[in-house]
Amino acid sequence: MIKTRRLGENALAGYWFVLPLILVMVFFLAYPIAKAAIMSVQYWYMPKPKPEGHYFVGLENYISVFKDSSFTNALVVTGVYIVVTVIARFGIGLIAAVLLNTKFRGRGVARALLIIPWATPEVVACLVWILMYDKDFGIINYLGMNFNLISQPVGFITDPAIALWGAMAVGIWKGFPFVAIMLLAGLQSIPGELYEAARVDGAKPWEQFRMITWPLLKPVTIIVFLLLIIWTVKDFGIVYLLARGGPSQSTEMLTIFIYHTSFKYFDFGEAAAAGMIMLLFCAIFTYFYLKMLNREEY
Amino acid sequence: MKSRWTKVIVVILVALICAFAVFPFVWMLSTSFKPATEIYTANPSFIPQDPTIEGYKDMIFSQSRNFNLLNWAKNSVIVSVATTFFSLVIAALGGYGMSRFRFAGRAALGYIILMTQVLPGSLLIIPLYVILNSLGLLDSLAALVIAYTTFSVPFCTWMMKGFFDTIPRSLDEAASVDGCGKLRTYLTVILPLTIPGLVATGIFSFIAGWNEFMFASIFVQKYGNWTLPVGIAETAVGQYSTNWTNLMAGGVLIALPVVILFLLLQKHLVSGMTAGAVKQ
Repeated sequence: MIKTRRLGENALAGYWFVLPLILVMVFFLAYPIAKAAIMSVQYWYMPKPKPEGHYFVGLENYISVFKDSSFTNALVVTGVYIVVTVIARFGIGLIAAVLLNTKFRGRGVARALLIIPWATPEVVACLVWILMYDKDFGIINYLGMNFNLISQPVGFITDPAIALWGAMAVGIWKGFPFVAIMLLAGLQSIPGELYEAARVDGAKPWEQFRMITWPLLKPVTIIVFLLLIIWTVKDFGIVYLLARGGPSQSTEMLTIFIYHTSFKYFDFGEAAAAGMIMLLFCAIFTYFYLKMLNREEY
Repeated sequence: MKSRWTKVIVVILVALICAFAVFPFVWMLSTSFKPATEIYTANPSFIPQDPTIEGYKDMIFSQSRNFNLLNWAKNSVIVSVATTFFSLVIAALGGYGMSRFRFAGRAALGYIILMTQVLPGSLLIIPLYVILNSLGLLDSLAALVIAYTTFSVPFCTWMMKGFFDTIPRSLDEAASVDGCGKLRTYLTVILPLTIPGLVATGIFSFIAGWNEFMFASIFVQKYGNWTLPVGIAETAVGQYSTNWTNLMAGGVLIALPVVILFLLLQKHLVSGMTAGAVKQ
């Protein structure tokens, strides 16, 4: 009797505490998403306003998105970007985390240094990389030439054939510390006795990794991997600031395509349609990912 | 013997990864002290031969029709501090509510918070632009505070919930037995215990506001209201011949506060960020 009353009271108090959070999410997330969904089926070509205003156009925006060769290009670029960047960020992050989980002098310093790319503002990071990438006096071309890795200076972000790779390198550099830090936290929650026992049994470092580290790290890995993929899909700043989508659209990912459609060509309707497609893809991916995750737990 | 070799390999690999991570920052520092002749050269050196602080002087003191670093810094501070304040108030309340009370829809709310991570900024910016425009808020710092608070609140709530979860419930119960109301328990008993959590969460949202570029570049067109990232990006594009000494000096000035914050508080920050994800 008393218990139910307390529960009811508790629940009510709970709502008061989460109310501001819910208000913010309704007004500034849910409402804009609904608005975007509506805009995606309306006429929103800003340079040519119609007397009817933003009238209903059905699926016209979606059709013009799919007919737009820039969109197809953006899908390919995004696909390459996600696969390469996610794998590299995760791989380097995992290696860094495993290394930093061993004891050696200067570990604290190494961990601090590792965080620097993550802390550096995107704009600043891109400026430095543009300078380092420069074809005439950039340090990377200088080192590459001196060590005979390249026979002539490379335009890392100005040559359409490799600009995407140049941009991905910066994306990887900026993003891997986050993975490393998260995985390191996961590694540190694995009890050290397990490794001692394995060592007593004569397990080699690689065997220890395969038999202890990897399986016990899996719950963290799954979450980090999901966050990593979602965040990589949404990446915008670095690639945009490095090359503005060019040269000849070779770095125009989906986010940059949407940005150009909305704030360069001012077709908010088509941009909203492309954005909704992207959102739908992310939502479906997350749904199946989490579902797969739940199934594995049982 | 074998383990010593392993150790050597570990240290070498760590050094390589750290060099990869730190090199651009070091190169920026080095370039910011170089005169132009040492930058536009086929033989760049690591340490400036003839160091100069002209770049820093120029960035800080020179002002023109479309350049004013100190003013942009002021805007960035205002936006980041306001974002941090609002995010903390909302996220701490929400995190406490989700940590302590079993209300209907609590699990759903948790899922929704996770789902907000999926929302692409490049989609949200379109309706937000239209909405803020009709509210007459475009071209103001308020527009940025609204946008940044909205984006950082879900993750901050998640972080704060993780911190509240580590504080024993018996404290709430004890306070309640002593006759403390719910709000007073929260404000006077629990909140003071989560100061490390508040600091970590606050830094997270401060940095998010300080570093953001896309929304700032669209929502604020007047150069007087630019934030540091937009200002420096526009400066880089606007010049006829890029003055790298100045740009790198500006980069150091913008990045240094955040990097120092990160390094000083990395322990708190990391435990905060991982509280939600790792304990899943």
